[in-house]
Amino acid sequence: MFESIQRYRDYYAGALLILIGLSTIYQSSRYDVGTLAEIGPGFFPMVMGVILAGCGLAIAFNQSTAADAEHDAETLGRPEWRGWGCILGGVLAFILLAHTGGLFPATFACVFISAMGDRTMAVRNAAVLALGISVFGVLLFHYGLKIQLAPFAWMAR
Amino acid sequence: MMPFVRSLLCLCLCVLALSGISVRAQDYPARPVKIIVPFGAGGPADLYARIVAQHLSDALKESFVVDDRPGAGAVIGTSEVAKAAPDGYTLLMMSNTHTVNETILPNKSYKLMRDLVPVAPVNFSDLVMVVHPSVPAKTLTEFIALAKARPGALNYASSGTGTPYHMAGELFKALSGTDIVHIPYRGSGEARNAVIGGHVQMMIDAVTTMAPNVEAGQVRALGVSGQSRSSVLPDVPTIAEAGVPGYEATIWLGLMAPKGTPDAIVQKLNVEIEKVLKRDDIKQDWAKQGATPLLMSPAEFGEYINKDIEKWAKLIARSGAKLR
Amino acid sequence: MTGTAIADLIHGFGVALQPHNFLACLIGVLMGNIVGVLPGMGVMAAISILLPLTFAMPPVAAILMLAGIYYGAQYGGAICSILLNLPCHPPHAVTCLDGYPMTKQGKGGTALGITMLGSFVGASFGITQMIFFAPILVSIALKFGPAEVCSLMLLGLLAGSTLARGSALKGIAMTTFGLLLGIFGTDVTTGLERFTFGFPELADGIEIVGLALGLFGIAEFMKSVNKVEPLKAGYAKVRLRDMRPSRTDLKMSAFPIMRGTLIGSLCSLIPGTGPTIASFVAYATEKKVSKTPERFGRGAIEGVAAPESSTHSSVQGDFIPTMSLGIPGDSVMALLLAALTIQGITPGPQLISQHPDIFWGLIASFWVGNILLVFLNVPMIGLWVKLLTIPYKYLYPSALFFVCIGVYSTNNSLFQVGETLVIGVLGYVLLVLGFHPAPILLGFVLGPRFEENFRRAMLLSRGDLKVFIERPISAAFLTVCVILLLGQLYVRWRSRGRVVTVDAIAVEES
Repeated sequence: MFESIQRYRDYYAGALLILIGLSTIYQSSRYDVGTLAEIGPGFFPMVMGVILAGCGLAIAFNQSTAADAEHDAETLGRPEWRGWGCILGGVLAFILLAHTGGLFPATFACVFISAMGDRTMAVRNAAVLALGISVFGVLLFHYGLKIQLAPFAWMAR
Repeated sequence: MMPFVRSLLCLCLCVLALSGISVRAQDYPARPVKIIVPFGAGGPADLYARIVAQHLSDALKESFVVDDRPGAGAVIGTSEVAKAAPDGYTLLMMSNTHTVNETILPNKSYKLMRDLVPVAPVNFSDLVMVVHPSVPAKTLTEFIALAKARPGALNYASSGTGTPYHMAGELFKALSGTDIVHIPYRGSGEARNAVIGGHVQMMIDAVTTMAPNVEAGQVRALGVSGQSRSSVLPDVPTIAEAGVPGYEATIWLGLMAPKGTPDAIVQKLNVEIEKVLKRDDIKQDWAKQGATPLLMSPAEFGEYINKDIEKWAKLIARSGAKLR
Repeated sequence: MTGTAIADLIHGFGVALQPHNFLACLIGVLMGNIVGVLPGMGVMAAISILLPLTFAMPPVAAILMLAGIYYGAQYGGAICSILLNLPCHPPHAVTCLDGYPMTKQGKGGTALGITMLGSFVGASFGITQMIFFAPILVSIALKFGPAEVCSLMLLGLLAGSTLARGSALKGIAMTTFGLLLGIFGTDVTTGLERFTFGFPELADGIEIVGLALGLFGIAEFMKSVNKVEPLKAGYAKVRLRDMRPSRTDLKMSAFPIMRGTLIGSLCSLIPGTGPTIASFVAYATEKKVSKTPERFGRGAIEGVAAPESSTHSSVQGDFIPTMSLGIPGDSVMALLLAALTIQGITPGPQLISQHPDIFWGLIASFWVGNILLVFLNVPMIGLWVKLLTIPYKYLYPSALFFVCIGVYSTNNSLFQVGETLVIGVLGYVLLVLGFHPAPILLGFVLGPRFEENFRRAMLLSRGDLKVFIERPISAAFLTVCVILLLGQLYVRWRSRGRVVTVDAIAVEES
């Protein structure tokens, strides 16, 4: 899958920009464009949408020069579903737990889940890391920097 | 087993919830009280909330914590308080931004007087109307004459559309019958820069922030916005006495609580806040900052808020749909 | 004038070196430094936490401490950018572009050393101009109306769209995309909410800290997870000798530091143009004037030296409009003003004559604070570089947590943590498609100011486009824009046949 993305990268890139551009134009058509003396809120987004769509067309039909392509080519390698999933899951866990559970459980979940994204990570090591960061995080952010998040939700209620 | 545990949990929660609501006023506060400030850290609302919180903590032997929830013209923090448990442990620091919002943001998730109850006002600060020295008008009457002679030619800056400063300007236009173009800026700093630099002729801003520029002659003060002269600029007449009778526009702050908060707690907080506001050191410190303590009972404060909502609603209806 | 300034400054040192003032300054810079290293932890948050503490302090000590947090944080900010490719604070995002490649080449210590040097030079210049030129600079800054700011922003956008490596077209597209992201939220001119999709949390726009940490942080973790080979052991062993930049390094950075400093001090004077814009413009300028622009993005030391010195000179310069006009350049300055107001002192044109202790004490404390910061940080470089010995699999989960809490702390909003996540995923998709995220940030920073001021200029001129060429400062900026565009076209046209050679150089370098 990734190889095909790499090969047709500029087509996908162009298509994405055209998509963003067109939806911007659609969205900004709901705002007033105004007159030159009183430019409305829709004027700028409209222009941005047109430029983006234009760039998209140009990129898709005007493939990068060899030099540019060499600059752009970050090695992609295989798709990394486990890693991606765990990183997203870690942040989501933080969002879900920060208010309902408190800073400590949220930190623990965030670090533990995202750590499991590394294929060489042992569960025990991830747990130890998460515990360490959680203790440190609560001490630093709750007690030290006075961030308004209770270590455990029941402590603030 | 499971259903039993669940029902037990339910029971516990119910008991907890009930005990939370039936707090007796003499036990209040039994744990930290949160004052949500829906404005940015370091703004006047945040600062005065912290000062009041400090004194309330000392008086009631329980900590009052200030929690800043800025965003969306105070809507985010306010709707959070509107949804909070009505047990007196969540309070809202509010200002006339809220009374203006009632009209200009009809689609927000709460209604001020429906979902919240007034607790106590805190203070009000005067505004001052200034012009760039290149403007030929030396007094307010001359300025009004100038604006009437050239309708739509003069500009005034404000710290943003829908802010109390913008409203103060619109009120001036409506009461004086002038046509001056509103140029919104992002925050008071940029707007002041525009007036001192002479890019815009006039603006209305807080007395304290403007006073040094007035004293240095960078801008000329035409009038202050309160009912009486300001102690910060005693030589400047009020706008009402200088030519626009009935004009009054200040920035005021107050505390509200979620609807359903026990009356006894509201009364207790009102009494304690009044004690803080009557302190001599508070009066003196605030006078230097251009703020005057406001003393009212919860009922009087509710009346005050209602009147303010009505005042801005009328003005916005009159000045047209230029806002949104 | 100069003579009295120096006498006043000596008086100021007397104030700043009084034990309790010195202590306040030390606490401030230390706290700032720590907060600066933490991703996203705003200076705002740190200052508002310490603010109540200062109520009980004498005014001089209070302001010294709060100011110390502000500039202290900038020293910490570059460390994660260079070593971890994680821009802790928006001004340092551009430092990642060349700082991190330097680390990968084992020159992380050198990059940090140059950063400290550049920072100190930048800050010193900022302070010096505050002493001697404040009144002149303020009068120039006041000449900047909406038309002038608008033309300046246009120049910044043009210069910056070639910020990243690779295809110019993609750079322009990303700048435009950044401009678009910048206008999310409430429209300043009409108060209408745009592109908020029904979320009240988006009414104030996308949070810049979230944008930077999403694009550079989360997207980067997604790219690197399971793919990073451990850095070779030798890279982390940094001795004090390695941190000292070599003679060539110094020679190469001397002019970039000077140019960066000048750009920073100019940016600080124009209201609403803070350190972030300064550092981006400095980087873009370096790339423009360099004889070997293809080295940028691959570990060019100029790409670290210029933006860092620019940030610091801008940070110090920010105090000029704040102290001499009472007009804050950004929200942190507004907070400092508030702190002074609480003490019963209103900053403004008369501050210097009415409260010489505060003004000159503050200036002297800047020197004291910056010297303290250099002493605090140089020995720490070795320790920071040790961060690199931590295996990536332990590093990224911890960093992810710091990103979350950092974004949360800016507005106490979990919504913005979610926003950061979405931006991170989008950023990764863009990386896969060969786009670079740096121009997005530039567009984001400059975009809203460009739009606002364009519309404001049109409001003021009642729709007459001629204002942009009738006002001399604006006309000058527009002329530079045209020259830049023509130059770009000329270079493109001439190099058509030489693509292969440029390519060859690039390959040789890597």
